[in-house]
Amino acid sequence: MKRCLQVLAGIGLGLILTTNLYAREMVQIKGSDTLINLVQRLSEVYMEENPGKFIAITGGGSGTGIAGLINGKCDIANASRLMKSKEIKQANSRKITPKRIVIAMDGLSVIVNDRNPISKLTKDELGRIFRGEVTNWKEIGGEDMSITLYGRQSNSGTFVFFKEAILKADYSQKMNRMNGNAQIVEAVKQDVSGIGYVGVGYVKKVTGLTVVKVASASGKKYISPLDAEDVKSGKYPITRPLNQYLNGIPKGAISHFIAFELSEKGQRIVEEEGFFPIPSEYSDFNNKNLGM
Amino acid sequence: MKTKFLILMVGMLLTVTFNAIHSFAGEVEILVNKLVDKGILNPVEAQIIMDETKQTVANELAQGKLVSVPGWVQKMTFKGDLRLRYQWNKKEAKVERHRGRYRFRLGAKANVVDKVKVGFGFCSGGTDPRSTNQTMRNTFETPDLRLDYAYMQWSPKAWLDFYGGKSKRKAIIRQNSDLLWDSDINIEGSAFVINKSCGMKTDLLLSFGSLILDESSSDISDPVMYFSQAGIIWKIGNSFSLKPAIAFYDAYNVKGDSLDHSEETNSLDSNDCLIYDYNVVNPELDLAVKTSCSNVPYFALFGGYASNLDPDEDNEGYLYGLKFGDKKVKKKGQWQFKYTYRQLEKDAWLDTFSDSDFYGGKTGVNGSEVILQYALAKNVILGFDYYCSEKINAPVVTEEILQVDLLLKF
Repeated sequence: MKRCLQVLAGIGLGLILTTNLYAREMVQIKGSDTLINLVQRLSEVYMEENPGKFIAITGGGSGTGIAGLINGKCDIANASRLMKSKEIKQANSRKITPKRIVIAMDGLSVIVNDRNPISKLTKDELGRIFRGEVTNWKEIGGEDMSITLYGRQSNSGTFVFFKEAILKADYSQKMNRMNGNAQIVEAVKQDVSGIGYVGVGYVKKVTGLTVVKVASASGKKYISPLDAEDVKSGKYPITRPLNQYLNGIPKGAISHFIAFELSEKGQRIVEEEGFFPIPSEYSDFNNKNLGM
Repeated sequence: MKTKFLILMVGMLLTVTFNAIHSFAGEVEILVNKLVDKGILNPVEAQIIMDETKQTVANELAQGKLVSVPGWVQKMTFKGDLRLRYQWNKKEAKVERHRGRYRFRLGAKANVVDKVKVGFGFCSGGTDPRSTNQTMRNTFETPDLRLDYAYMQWSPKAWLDFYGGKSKRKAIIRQNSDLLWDSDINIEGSAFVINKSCGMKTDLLLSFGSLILDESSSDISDPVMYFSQAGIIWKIGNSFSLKPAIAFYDAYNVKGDSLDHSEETNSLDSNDCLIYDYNVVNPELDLAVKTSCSNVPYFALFGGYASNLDPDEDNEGYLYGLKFGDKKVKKKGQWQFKYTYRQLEKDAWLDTFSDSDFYGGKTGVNGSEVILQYALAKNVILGFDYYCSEKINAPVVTEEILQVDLLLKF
């Protein structure tokens, strides 16, 4: 009898907890590996301040997040690239109306091993390196050693952004395609001949790497992605906005969380996580897209 | 306000540029960058305009309001060349020949899926795998365009490639000369290629595979060739590099068979079938020096040896040479001089594969070759190639060839 009561009590407790969970408003977020740590932190602080709310976050890359939004598997897609026409077409066919907002700025950072004397490159040199046209560091003033390329997989928004902004063509077939930013950082730390690209949030506190200064063209000033002002003002040549895609103008819990991300407190967290707050131009852009 | 005006301008431009999306996006980028340079826009405004433009184009495409170059075209890269040649031949006891010749090649490479590519190319010439030349003759006859290569390349790792189909031979079997392989030959079969950096400025090269030489509907013992090659590229300091390599070729089921396109200078029986196997060991060595002399920035010595293990005599070949000038002749003003001497005995190697310009691709020959190349402009190369070769055994007959080439790459 005592055992029977214990089982019934357990079932009752379970029911109460489950009901309570469903009563909480849940927002599903999916996508960019670059954004995952930042949005995770934003959601933790948000949930602490809003006990009734629940945010669930998964990665998988920008492509996965956008596919999730189109398929109704998530409410917000984290994306470090813009949506493609094919994705917009799929979204339209499923009555999804993608709305883009920008939650942070990233200085996409090119990294080399700290034993490599190379510390600055032009956009053109970067393009030639990652297209596989330059294969030895000595060709661009470095030591006589083969260049080992580390980049992302094709479902990554960073992969697409870097390709469109820098390569304007296909990546070298020889590029090692890594799962995430952290894997690229580790690989380049261990490989004196390596070069990779990662979100700035992944390099600020890391040792064993040189964050390469980049110039938009030969003869122009070399700029570091670690310089907050140059990234925020867009002077750093590989500055990019970090986006979230929503289905239409958000309401309820989604709208509440977005407002937190874009608030002063949210933008302070953006900085704490190594990225940069959005400039006023993007605040206006967000207000327009959110119908504010 | 000015941002809105510019977005409006961009939108208007979009509506009149239906068929040129990519060039349009490039033009907008140039325009926007100019406005940033002049201080009319700040970089953030420029970025917003570019992103809005891209997103508008993507929206228009999604709604079918714009047409784009098909995706399969965007995934392809093309390259080709045209070579115009004057050729003079003189062989003892034969009349001199003066020929106008040309070679045209067009190739493409397409991404199929991640890490898988397909390459294919077309060329002028006849069925002979050792020549893509077309001689000007027969009253403006329309020549053939043939399949030069068609292969798949799968790269599961950055250092590992698998090739299948009719592949470019030079990507799989690397040679420092054409002692064994005519430069026009592309091989059929499958192969793995490993190219891995081992640190200490050393790259390891390995390749192995099987090549299909022929197929008979009435005989299961089809001739094939198994091959393996190992080599390293060792950089010594900033100026020297050393490339030792060794290859082994096992031509299987060729004994007792006759191969197409043979020059019939290998040992044959009364039925014109080969009487030996061709199990050939082929070591090679290159030594290259980057000099401090700006007029002659590059100097290299190279050589190779081949020995067929089956016959006891007439089974060896060798080649040695030097080259200097620029390492590659591509840009205007670059040049290179090259000299080689070679001897290829009767049964050292199959006379189906050796350089067709060197005594017609026959074995049992020796002689010299001198090449001078000069780039008149980027991708426009003037070349002189002179061969003086003769048969090793009596009666010794000498052949001379001079080729003057104008090569245009695109």
